[in-house]
Amino acid sequence: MSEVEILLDGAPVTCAEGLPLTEVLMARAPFWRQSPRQGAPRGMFCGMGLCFECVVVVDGAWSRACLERTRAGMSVRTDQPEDRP
Amino acid sequence: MSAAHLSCDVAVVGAGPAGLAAARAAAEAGARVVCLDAFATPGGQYAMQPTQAESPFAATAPVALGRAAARAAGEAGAQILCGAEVFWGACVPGGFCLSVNHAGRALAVEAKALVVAAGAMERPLPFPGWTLPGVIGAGAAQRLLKTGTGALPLPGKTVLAGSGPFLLAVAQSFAKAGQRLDHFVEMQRPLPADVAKVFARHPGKLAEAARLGLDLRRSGAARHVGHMVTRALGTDRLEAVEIAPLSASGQPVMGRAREIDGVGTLAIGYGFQPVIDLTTALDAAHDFHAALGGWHCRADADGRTTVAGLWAAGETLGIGGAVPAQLSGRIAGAGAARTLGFSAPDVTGATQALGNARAFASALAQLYPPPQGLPVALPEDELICRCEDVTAGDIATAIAEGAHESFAVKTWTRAGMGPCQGRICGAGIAAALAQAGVPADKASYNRAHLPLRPVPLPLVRAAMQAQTEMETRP
Repeated sequence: MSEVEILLDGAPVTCAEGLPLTEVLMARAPFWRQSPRQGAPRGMFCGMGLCFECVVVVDGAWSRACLERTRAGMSVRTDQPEDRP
Repeated sequence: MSAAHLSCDVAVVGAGPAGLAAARAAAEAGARVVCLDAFATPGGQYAMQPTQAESPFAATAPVALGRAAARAAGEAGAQILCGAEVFWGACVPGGFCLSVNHAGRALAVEAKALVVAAGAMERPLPFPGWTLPGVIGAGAAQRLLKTGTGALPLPGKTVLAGSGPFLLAVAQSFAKAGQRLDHFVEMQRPLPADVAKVFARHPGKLAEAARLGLDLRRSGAARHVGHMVTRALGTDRLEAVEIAPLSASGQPVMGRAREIDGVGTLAIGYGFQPVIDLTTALDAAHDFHAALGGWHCRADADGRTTVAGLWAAGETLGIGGAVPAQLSGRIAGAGAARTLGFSAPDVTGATQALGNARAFASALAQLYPPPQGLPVALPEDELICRCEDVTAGDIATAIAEGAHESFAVKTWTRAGMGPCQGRICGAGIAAALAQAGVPADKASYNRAHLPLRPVPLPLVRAAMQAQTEMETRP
């Protein structure tokens, strides 16, 4: 298993390469988003790219964490407003 | 930004067992084939590929099947594009134009014929507390186990719950991954005599079923048969799960409810529903059958839909599993190529095998009928639409005021207008309508609209420009 370092909200995190990003995020906390009207905490739900609950910003672009794979140097932000289309 | 172009005879949407079989059959007939899939590797859900070399799933049969099917389709000449998510499809003169988000760039695929093998998704039914972080789909848990390190990331106990034979497959994945499963909560226990009848007719399936049962035991989970999850409890995350036994009429007996505490993950699933966004966008006719997962695309025995040149295969035609998916893919791929004038191989054998495979799937669906109503009555403030935070009370009010179709509920309340486009809340809305006396076939479904999946605006613009060029060229 080759390890990579990614930036999670600016902090370096070491993890296996190619992992679903949701696994890395959930190891930190089960949620990283707020729902639009109630502001309730939300995390991954469907895990297959259809519910959009796990959205993060990867290298500046809106993305579903469950479809992202960890790769060296990727920057993941959960602490900024999503640029949701 | 302008869109990249690809032109082919047959485009296949989905690189799961059905899509790969369709791509192979059409390519073997001599058609130029492009096969598109949103995920990073081919295989779909059933044959999803591990990302870690030392994954305990690396040597399993479904993984091998996915790899072999992708290789065979590639060797036949099909071009398989992964990380390619179709966000729109339209009929244009001479065929179809697919708008694709290909790793963040716009791609327009022009095809004379189109095979949609978009697969299935879990059929999420809302229950009190279902939006708490830590509550995930049963399939989501399996996906984490199969594509991750093999350990679930959330601390605390793990509960697997819901209804249907897929739960056994997920429990098997826990056992395979060596991941602890603490509780297994299953709505139905089919009568042994009924189970025996099914396997007497399909003896080839017996070994697989026996293995599923053994692996559930091996997972070490406490088994609660004839029970359901009535509530997920916690403040900002899941902390406990309430379960209750079901009465003879299928209602939870709340007087005998009990709490399982210290829970980190609740993986819950009530069966599957076909992914029909693209086929509804293309205006194909759809039918409703509860045993097939609800709304599914209508097609003849060859996979021909009601739209000329549009074919469907796999779970898009109704939930059936990987075996019918492969067979129907081969049949639709060959049919699409033949209609374009290629000499496709004879698929009579596959058509006969498909009948038998569908019979097994439908017998299984009768053993485990998917619940149609909401499993537990929802409090007014519980959410049905997670994207837009629309509550059960909002939806009940809309229905009482005259919203008697899924589409009316959507325009009334915004439920289904968020990024999931009703894929997640659709079953919950249908159940709320059913409770108010509107049967599912009358409630209908929400036809998908542009974009089928959220996508940056410049990509939509580029793809629409490419589509307009195809529509208007002399």
